[in-house]
Amino acid sequence: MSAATIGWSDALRAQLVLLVRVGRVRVLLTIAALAVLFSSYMIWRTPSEDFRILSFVLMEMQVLLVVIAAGWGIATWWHEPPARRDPMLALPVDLTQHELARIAAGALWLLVAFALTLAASVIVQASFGQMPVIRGVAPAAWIALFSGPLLAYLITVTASTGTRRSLELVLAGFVALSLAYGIVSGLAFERGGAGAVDRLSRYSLFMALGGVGTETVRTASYAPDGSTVQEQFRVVYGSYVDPHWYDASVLWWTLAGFALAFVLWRRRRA
Amino acid sequence: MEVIPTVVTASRWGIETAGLTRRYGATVALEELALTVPEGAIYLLAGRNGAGKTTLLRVLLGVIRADAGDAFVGGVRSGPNGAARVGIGYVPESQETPYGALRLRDLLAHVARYRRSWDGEYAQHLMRELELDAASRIEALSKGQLRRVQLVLALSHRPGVLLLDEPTDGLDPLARDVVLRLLVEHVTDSPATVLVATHVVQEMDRLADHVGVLREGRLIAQLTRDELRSKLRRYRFRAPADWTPPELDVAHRNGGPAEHEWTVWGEESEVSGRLASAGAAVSAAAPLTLDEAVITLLKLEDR
Repeated sequence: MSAATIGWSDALRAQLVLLVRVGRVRVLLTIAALAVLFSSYMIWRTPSEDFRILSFVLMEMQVLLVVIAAGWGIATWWHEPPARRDPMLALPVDLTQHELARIAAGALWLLVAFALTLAASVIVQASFGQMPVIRGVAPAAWIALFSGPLLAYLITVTASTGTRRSLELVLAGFVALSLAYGIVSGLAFERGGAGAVDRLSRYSLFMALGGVGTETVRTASYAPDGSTVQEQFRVVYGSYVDPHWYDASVLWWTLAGFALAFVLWRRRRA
Repeated sequence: MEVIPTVVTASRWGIETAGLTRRYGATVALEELALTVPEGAIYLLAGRNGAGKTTLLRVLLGVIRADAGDAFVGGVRSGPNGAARVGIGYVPESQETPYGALRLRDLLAHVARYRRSWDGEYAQHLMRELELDAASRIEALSKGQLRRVQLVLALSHRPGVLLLDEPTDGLDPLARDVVLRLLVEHVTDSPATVLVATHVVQEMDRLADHVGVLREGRLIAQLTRDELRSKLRRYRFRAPADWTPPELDVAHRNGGPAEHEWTVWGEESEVSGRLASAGAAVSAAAPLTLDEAVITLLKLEDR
């Protein structure tokens, strides 16, 4: 590659600045602030005797963050599919690197917003005298914590960089996936009963998106002094926490990686 | 019968393709294309809708891949890695421009981050000449203003090669005039090879020094403007009713039984001589305008 082309890091920097300039980051941080308010409200209304079952990310927060991340994936490059980007096609940067830089820039801003939201939630929780136990959280648990929002973002951003109808595509995909999951769950129940459905759910995308983050961190924080083992589940203060939930995260990260590589390869081959 | 040339000669090429082929399913967009644009030339690429002009420009940019053949721009092979794009300024066919919420100055700053040779002062000069306000948001600009923005983006890094796809599309007559003037000024100050794909051929009459005509993905003519002017001419003559027409490469026949008007490819002296030998009295042998010449070349294939 010629010395005069722009490398991956320069392209990423340009895209990070661009997202600020187009006002998208301002919107994201505003939403993050609203999420902190929501989190504060949830903590405020939780009776003090129930604080022991709070993880530092509330279950409701996790789902909310996944929804925000999915929305961010659509909004980041909203209405800017390849057909609209013709003037940018002449930029002296490798096409794949450029596309990855665009996606990574959105992911980085999402992580920043996520980290700020979590930090603010922890501060709020600590102000109620309940400092979450963060020490000893395994790296895999941290990855799992961030998996839901990041996976949601990657799925939706792939749609928004590839088509004008990203919202419709994502909604249709969600409905199709829900239907498919319902059908497969039904078949699994017929063949193997509730156990089969449980095993299936461990690997489902919904588990990777919605469940993993909260429960893994709760596991790491509270399991050492509060867990017992029943069958194959660890029971943490009455919540079922399946160690296999990490597997859903790993599985869907791998699939997302392959999907992204395929999309980039197709675009490069175009 | 003399064949319309499809090969031009030069010592250095600004743009060069060899055996370039691109298909979309069963449709052949480009077929064995050997387009050669001499360095510093202003090359008009003409052709009907769907002839393959835009596909060619996108292959040259390296944003779509050719199924076969090679393409070089400024001596650098076109490809997805962007090396060739370093020296290319590009005005796309569509006026659509991304990042609607962005202000124009921020869009310029964004593109400048990618262009090491970005000339900020020149960009400001172009903005003034094209009456663009740096504080405007992209989404608030009209089609014509977006086209002008694209021209600023294409020219401001002073590229060695300009690929312009319908560069005056959407512009009002005054703006068209300004754009054409700026193009002339640009190539005077910063020598560049210019490839212009356009349907508005007459605009290029004063600018183009090379002409290529694409038809269904094939180059049916490629020659200098001088050769086109000297060899493709319209002859007006009177001929007796019982005359036997000479063998000529007639592109187009017009006129009545007494006075004829033929467009003929060939050296003027030879064509006039043959007509005279056959008993015709030639009253005029005029070159065609660029627009007329391109239309004639496009029809030529239909014979």
